[in-house]
Amino acid sequence: MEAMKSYASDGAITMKKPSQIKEIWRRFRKNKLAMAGLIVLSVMILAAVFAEQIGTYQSAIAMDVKNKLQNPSWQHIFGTDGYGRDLFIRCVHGGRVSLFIGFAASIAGMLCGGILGMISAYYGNKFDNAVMRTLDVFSAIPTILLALTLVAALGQGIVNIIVALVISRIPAFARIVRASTLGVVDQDYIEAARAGGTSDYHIMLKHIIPNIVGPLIVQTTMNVSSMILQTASLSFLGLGISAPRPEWGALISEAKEYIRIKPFMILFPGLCIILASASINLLGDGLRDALDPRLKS
Amino acid sequence: MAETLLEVKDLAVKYKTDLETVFAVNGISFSLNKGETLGIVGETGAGKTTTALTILRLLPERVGVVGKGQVLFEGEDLLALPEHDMMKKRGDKISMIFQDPMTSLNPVHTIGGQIAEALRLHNEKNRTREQLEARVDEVLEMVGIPPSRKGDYPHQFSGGMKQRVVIAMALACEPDLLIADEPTTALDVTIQAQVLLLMRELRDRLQTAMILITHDLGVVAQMCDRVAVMYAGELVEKGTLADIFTGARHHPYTQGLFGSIPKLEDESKTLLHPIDGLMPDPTDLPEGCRFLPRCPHACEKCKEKQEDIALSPTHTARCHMLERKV
Amino acid sequence: MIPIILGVSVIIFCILSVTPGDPGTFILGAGGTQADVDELNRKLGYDLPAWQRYFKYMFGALRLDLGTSYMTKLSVLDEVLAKAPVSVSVAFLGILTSLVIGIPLGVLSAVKQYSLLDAIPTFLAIFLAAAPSFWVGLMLMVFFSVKLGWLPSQGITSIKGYFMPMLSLGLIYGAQTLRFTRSSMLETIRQDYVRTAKAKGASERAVIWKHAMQNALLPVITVTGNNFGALLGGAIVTETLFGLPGLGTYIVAGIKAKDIPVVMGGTISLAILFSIVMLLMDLLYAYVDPRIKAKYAGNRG
Repeated sequence: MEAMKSYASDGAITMKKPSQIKEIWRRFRKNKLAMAGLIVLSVMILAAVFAEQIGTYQSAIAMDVKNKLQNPSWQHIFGTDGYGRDLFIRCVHGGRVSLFIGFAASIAGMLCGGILGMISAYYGNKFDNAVMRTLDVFSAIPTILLALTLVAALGQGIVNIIVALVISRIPAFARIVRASTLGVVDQDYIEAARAGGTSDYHIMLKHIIPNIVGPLIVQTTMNVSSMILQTASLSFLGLGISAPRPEWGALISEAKEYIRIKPFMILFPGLCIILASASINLLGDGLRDALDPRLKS
Repeated sequence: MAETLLEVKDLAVKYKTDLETVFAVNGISFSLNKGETLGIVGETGAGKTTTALTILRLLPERVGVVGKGQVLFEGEDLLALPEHDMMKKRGDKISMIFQDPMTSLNPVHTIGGQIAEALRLHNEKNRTREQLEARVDEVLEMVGIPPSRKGDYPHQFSGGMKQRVVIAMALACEPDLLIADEPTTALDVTIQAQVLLLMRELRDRLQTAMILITHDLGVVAQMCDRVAVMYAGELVEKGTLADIFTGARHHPYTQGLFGSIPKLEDESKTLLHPIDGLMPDPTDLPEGCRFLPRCPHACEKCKEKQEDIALSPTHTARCHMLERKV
Repeated sequence: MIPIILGVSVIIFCILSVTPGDPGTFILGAGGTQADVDELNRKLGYDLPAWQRYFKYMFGALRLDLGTSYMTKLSVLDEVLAKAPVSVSVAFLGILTSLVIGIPLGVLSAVKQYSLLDAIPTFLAIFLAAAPSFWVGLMLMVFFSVKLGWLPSQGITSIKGYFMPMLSLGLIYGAQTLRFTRSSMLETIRQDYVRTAKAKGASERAVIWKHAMQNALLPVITVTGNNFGALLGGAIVTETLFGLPGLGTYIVAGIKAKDIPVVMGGTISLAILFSIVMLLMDLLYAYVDPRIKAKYAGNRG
């Protein structure tokens, strides 16, 4: 069965045959920055998965006051914090939390927001209008504020943070998916499918989703990095992950106290955030270019 | 006495990207006299636009590379000129108009401003502001646009009118040579006729030499004195209008082109004869005749490098089979 | 604009109503008896059902009475009026800085594509765009306050207090502006009308400044407008970090303290400011792009 190869209005190639996936991968591989991003991210994910092996959770939270505020050394690569805990191990465990929340929130947000956006664009008219107006309202509140308020209402903790982030991001996801869907919904082959009696559900599943999946993947990827940044900001403000579990933003907040004597305590967790976020961004850029090379000149 | 204005000698151009090298133009030569109109005909991808861009040295930087050849304009090799001097020639001595009028004009400048810019860039006569504006009005009238509209923006004009503006801009400095790359392809047929008529009038009035690039043989018949047929980066046939349209012997590709046109007078319901196959991959061209895979008369000798055969003093074709004595 | 503000108020109020606990308990803490807590709640109007509280608050807001803070007993309106200018200044300076940093460097890296002048700004932009605003702020603090001692690390007792917040916002959003300006320029340079300009004999410089830039900057303005929400978020965190007495710090403190009037009043004010800015951006865009100007002119004429 020959896979359908159709072009959406923006030229994105759909219904990826296996050889197309190889082609996409080939294009991606050529992009050095994107490959660097992929490698760095993979290393970080591995570190997060094997965090226990690198340094136990207990050692990350157990206090050892006589060792406090050590400078970076061979024993303590990033030094120690105000309670004598190894900063590197704390960063690794912090990475676990941040990456987990980042991916979970982004995927969940894409699912919820995406379905909303697609349905809204597909059915159009009053429903679409109502949805768009509501989304406009949400957009008038800075995401961080919305997330803050939600966390304050729901309480702290990983699940609540994910919920808060997802809710505050649904408008953005819905918008993007809606825009992509609008680009597809006017196409003749959708008309044809409708005329042929295909059910709406079927149309959305078989025709619309494959045509918008490219930009969606890119957006979901890019959003992971902003979720990580949001989590860090929440923790920094004191409404994120609660102690003693380490989290990058929280580590920076703790380090604030010692800014005058040990500024490197701020540096390292920050670099972790930047590394994670930048590699994801580069990965996302690379995916975007690989999925639709015509966008790049 | 015809005076040679432009002479292209053995020009070769390629596009080098990270993925591949495209051999767009592969050793073409032609010449153009003052006031003459040369039509370059061929399918999309034959290398016509590349040739035009090369004459004006507007190839994309880094990617477009001239392999060999010369472009002699009034005796000077344009390819060897420093950029600064080339810039002075563009718009003043040689102008170019492009295919798509919808995107050729800057959307945020008025049309009057864009024409005035062409004049200002080549203001050797040191015209004052008023004089420049007067010239802009003159030029607009010349193409049939009321000067009162010079403060309008491109999006306020239709496609045909936009193309007139483009023509006005190109002819404002009265260049010696105008290169028109498919100027009417993007327009409706009726508008096409108007624009072509305009171009003919202006050309006759200003005595401008013209290179008209097109895939439409009808346009060629209306506008050109001489014709060159381009295929896969080569000029497979060159001659006067009469040679190409009414001559007895042609390169097989030219025959194919004419055979693909429906004839109005032909009562018998003969089928159109499109040429089988597609143009060869420009990254991987053979040494011999590039038309070989599609030619109904192919033979072993076609695999060798081909030469131009003279069919008459004005008519040449690049096919060894025409070498038979008549 | 009005419906948006109303919508915002509804949303925030709903979320806040879900918050466990009541102001009475929060304020009196362990020190009060249940009776005292109930008494306080009644005084604060907290004994009414949620929707009644909402309407009471909104009617008050219409009369420009944004309530009084549970914690400080001060009029929310007064506080907002005092703090809004600070936030506006910080946000405005932040945007300005980001444009000043981002646009020239973006144009430069586009024009000098593939060279070092492209690689370095792009690298820095990638780095900074991935950085949290508070981290950049802290690093600046380390440099300017701790090491050099030039700038105060907290507050705005003098103009100097604006510098680091402005710079940290400017660097981060400047990085995004840079990347976007760069891609917009690259795309514009490939447009047909740029080729036409060159065919007319325009110099490289004229092509860039007169033809490419104007067109390339249009989408940059739109994106800056769209990004304003994110910038505001960054500004809020930055305010908190530097201890600036702005709306951001105010609202965040209110959220932590579950001080409903503060959060309501503060967020509504923020939403109003936000809407005004968006309106200004639309006007700016219409002014700059003749195609849109014509649309508006056509409607009137």
